[in-house]
Amino acid sequence: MLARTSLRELWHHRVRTALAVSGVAVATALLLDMLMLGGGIESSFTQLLSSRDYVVRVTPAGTLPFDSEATIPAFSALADSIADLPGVAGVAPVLAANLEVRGRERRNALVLGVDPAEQGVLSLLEGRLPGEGESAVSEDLAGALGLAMGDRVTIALTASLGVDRRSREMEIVGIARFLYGARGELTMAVPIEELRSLTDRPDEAAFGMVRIAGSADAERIAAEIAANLPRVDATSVTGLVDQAQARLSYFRQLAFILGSVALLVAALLVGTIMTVSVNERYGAIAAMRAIGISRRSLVRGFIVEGLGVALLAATLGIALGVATGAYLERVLSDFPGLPAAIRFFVLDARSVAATALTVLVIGVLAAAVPAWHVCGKNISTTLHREEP
Amino acid sequence: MTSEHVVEGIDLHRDYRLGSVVISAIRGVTISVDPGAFLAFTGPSGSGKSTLLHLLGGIDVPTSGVVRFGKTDLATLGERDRSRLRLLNVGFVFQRFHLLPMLSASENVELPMSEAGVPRAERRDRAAALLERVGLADRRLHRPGELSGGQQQRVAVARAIANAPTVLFADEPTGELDRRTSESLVSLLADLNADGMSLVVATHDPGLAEVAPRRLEVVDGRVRP
Repeated sequence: MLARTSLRELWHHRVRTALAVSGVAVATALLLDMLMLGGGIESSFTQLLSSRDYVVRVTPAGTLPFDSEATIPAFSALADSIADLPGVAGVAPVLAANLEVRGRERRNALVLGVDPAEQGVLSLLEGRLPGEGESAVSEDLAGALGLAMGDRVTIALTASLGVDRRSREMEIVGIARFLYGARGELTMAVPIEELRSLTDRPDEAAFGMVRIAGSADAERIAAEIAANLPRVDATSVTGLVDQAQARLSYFRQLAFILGSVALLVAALLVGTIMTVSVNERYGAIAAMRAIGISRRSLVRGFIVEGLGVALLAATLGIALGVATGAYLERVLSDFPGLPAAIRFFVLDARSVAATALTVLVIGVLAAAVPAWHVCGKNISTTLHREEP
Repeated sequence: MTSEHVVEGIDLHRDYRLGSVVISAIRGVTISVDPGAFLAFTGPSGSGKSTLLHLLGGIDVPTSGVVRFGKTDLATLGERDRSRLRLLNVGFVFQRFHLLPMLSASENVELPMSEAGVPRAERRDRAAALLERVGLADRRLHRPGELSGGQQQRVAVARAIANAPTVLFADEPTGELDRRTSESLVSLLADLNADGMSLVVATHDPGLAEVAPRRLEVVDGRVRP
């Protein structure tokens, strides 16, 4: 019954309630966005790296994949050594070069040399993996040059890579999605031997991707590679995520600070509205206590009121947070050089649940604390003050 | 005094501390209320009438002395038990009614029954009967803001007797009412007393004091017959 009067109070003071709910909803939206941002990059990065079974990366010592133009020479021998380690199921070499691609038009594109039998950088949308004299192109490259399956293109060294502008003609046999490609990046895959030959880098690889057997421990394999083969670094997906986390700590700090501010604002708003509401009924509370209504029942009534504000605010705030997160995602996804699969604001049940729970707890505490305090005042003294 | 009294106070003192100053609101009052009694405290403002009412009703604790409700010494009860005792055995009517404005007259009357755990259907029936008894059967769905002062005080009386208390305390129950509605309320209180309910009022209203068979004047925290 006291819960009913609390909810009616919210409706009776609907302008005040609406303002409080709006304020808390904005803070809730900010909190949700910060939670999404805080975990979003990490989860999407982990998802991206773990999307295939290649969970260990082998790079020239002191670099990360695509981090520099350094390559690993004599990769075949290295790959054989790695393949001999227990738990390793395969090693995929990757070589990269920026080349000119000539179709109806000419464009510079990132050309990846891959082993069609062992690769983890692309997934086919159409066609098949390229064999000798063949290539697979990204949708963006196909769109940019007006290419279709079966068309022939020429790839050629750009001026910066060689004086001799060697070229090679390739048939397009596949349209692919490149897992680590940036949004709008023009990418092509060709057999690694073709790229090695064209760029005069025999038996080199920019990095290798190690596929492990089902139950093998990626960390152990990475450690063994690093220990046995000092000219390369070996990093597991977990290690890469750790490195990425270190590089992206700015985002997490920003998310933490803004999330804390949002939390504080929400607590202050609900706290203010509930303190006003409790103090307005100072005399009524004393009278209720006098007629035998327990302190616990009265506080419970105010908690319903605080929860009412928090519930409305959480519902609106989560919807608002999802919308603003989607908008900011569109803005940030145009950040140059980032893999298209990387997402900043990842909506997940945990973030939503944590946001809703936090706001509801704030609602309960913001109501319970002032109510418990006022309900504990001396009844007689309060009545003396309230009665003429 | 014996435990046959509904409530009794023995050598009650109540001091309030305001900074370094101690104000003695009640000074050595001994008093008892018998079953079916109608007792009026009169006296000037600030004489201690309300404080005495609060002590006897168990909403305040004496600085020294004993308040016994039936056989129960209130000093032996914790706040929760005193609250329960007030809920089930004591009715209170205030000068300013203190009805909950968001609840209808019926819901206000039901509130103490709800706290006491009376099932919804039963408390609705009882609230209807109580509102009929105070002459407001047709106003049970109205909220306090839609009722006159006299009607609100009648609802407050119905709320006070909702759990069939053994004694009803009323602090200046006619203080906010005009003469005509005061008379009507005095009549209602007299009827309740005639039905056997013990009644203790603190009042300035001579009309109310006159109907009380036993009148005590409170002056400077002391009771004079």
